[in-house]
Amino acid sequence: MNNEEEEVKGMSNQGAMQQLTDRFMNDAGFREEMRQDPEGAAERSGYELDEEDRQALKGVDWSGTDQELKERVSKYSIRWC
Amino acid sequence: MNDLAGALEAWRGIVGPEHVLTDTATLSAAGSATFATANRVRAVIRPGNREEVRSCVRAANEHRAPIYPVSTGKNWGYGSRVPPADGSVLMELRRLDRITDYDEKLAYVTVEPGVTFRQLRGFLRGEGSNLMLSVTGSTPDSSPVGNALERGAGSGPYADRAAHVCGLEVVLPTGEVVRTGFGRFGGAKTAKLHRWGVGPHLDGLFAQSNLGIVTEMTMWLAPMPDYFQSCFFGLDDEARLPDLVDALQTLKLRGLFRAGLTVRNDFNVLVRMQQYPWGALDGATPMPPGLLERMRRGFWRDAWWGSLWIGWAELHHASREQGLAERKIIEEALGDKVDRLAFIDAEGATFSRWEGGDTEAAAGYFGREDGSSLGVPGDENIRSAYWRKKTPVPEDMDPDRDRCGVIFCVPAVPFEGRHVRVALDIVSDALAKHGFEPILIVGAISERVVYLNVDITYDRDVAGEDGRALKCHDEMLGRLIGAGYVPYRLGIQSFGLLPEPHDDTGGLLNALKRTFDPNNILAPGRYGLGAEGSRGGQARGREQG
Repeated sequence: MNNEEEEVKGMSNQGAMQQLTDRFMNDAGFREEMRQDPEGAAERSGYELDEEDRQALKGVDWSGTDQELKERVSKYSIRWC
Repeated sequence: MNDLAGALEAWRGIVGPEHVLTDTATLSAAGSATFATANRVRAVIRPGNREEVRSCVRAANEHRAPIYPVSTGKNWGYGSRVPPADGSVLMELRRLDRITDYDEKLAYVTVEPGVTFRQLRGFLRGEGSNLMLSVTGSTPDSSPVGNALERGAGSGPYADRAAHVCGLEVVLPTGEVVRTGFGRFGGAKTAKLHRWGVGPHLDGLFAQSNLGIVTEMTMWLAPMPDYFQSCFFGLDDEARLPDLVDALQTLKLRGLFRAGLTVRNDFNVLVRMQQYPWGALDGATPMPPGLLERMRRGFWRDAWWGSLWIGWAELHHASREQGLAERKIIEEALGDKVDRLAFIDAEGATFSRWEGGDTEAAAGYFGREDGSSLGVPGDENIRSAYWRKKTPVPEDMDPDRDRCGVIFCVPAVPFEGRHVRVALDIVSDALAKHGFEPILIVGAISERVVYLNVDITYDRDVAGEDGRALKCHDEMLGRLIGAGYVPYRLGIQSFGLLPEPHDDTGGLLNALKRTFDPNNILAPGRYGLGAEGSRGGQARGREQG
């Protein structure tokens, strides 16, 4: 287990989930792993998720290209009227 | 007596046979909406100019063939192109697509009903205009004229679109032409600049009605702001929503929030970002709020949508100084009413409050706001129609064709926290009872009224869902009206569901209809006028569930 994984293990679930998301947003390799197998990618990275977290993990749509992701999380993608 | 064959022959002579369509595929598509409907379209006619519209109307009278005019027919969630009376002929006005006047100084544009938001945006861009059109959340291929005639809401300072149009050119059901306001006087210099004209004001007769076909309209345009910022706010406690609504109303009444101001719930954002999480729920519906909360608070904690209620205000200013002064007033008023408050301008995000999160991460989601998206129509919201579909969202989205289930219910509610609470409770109860997610927007259309936009979203390919959704809609609407929250806009699902007026309005409207349209050939049943037997309720499909 490397230092990063040890640090992850010590975090609360919510913190771990947020860190997982941050990594997804910023790490192209991890994004690809998540798209293929979200649960496996999270486990391999040492994130400890309980059953509810796993359900939430499965609930998020991690698919799509980087461009689609960018559009999806952009506030411009939501028309406010 | 209805003589369709004679009418078709006459229309072919007027518009050309290529613009009179009777093939099965066309008629089937024209009779499809985003919920179950029963009425059949017998033909589609496409006149190309006002004179052809007049001639077609005269032929419709001669042959007693009812016609149902639509601009582009994208009235999704309200019945699309399906007429309120069975056996009508659809008159599509998409070939009337000219932009006939434009003035940068006095900030208006005059358009025909077939002009789309996309076309108008392209035109303004081509002219190098510094003006913006209020755009809708619907498709760029919908019609600004059609939207104004339904009193649709948009973005920007002129969000109440119908309040910023004038100079209607109208073909009456008997073929005469009238121009409203000062337009009735040839050469009047203010025909496109002033709503009221002199004497009785007629514009209102032709919106949400069937008393004429609008063939031209002037729409006012707002200037692009010299300084633009977005104000985002988030609230995690449902119980505090009424206080927030009251604070927003006070600000709006005092002259802040002059452009779009909306508050929406987490489901409303989710359905625009992704489809239903079928895998996480093993196919069960509806999606429990707890799961979404887990997703929000975990994965999306620092995203701008990571709250239970998410608000957004477009702030248009004449200078940065004005913007910063108004920002301060808003910060003071909302600071203790929300959990998160941020302002985004061309330099990035400034956080006034960001409970339980990391502002550095949040800034990444917000990015910068240079105002370049103002007045630009987009189709991103249409994705939400595919929320419950099990097939991916296609590139060329068409909710009618793809059997997306969408029914809108849009009550007008006093801009007061206590009223918004009551109306939201009614809506949420009905949705939960019938198994649909609460997909909600509270939109401030004025200083005194908000519109609640409620989406009932489902998959028409699932047996029984059409019936269940209509039942949900009817129950919700009935309870809302019973509590005093009457919808500001109807669709063919609801034309027949309004209560009888408690005064003489019904008689007056029917008398107007008989006077304007003695043969009842124009959109019979629309908004309850000229319906046979009922006020339009027969337009809906058989309930299955």
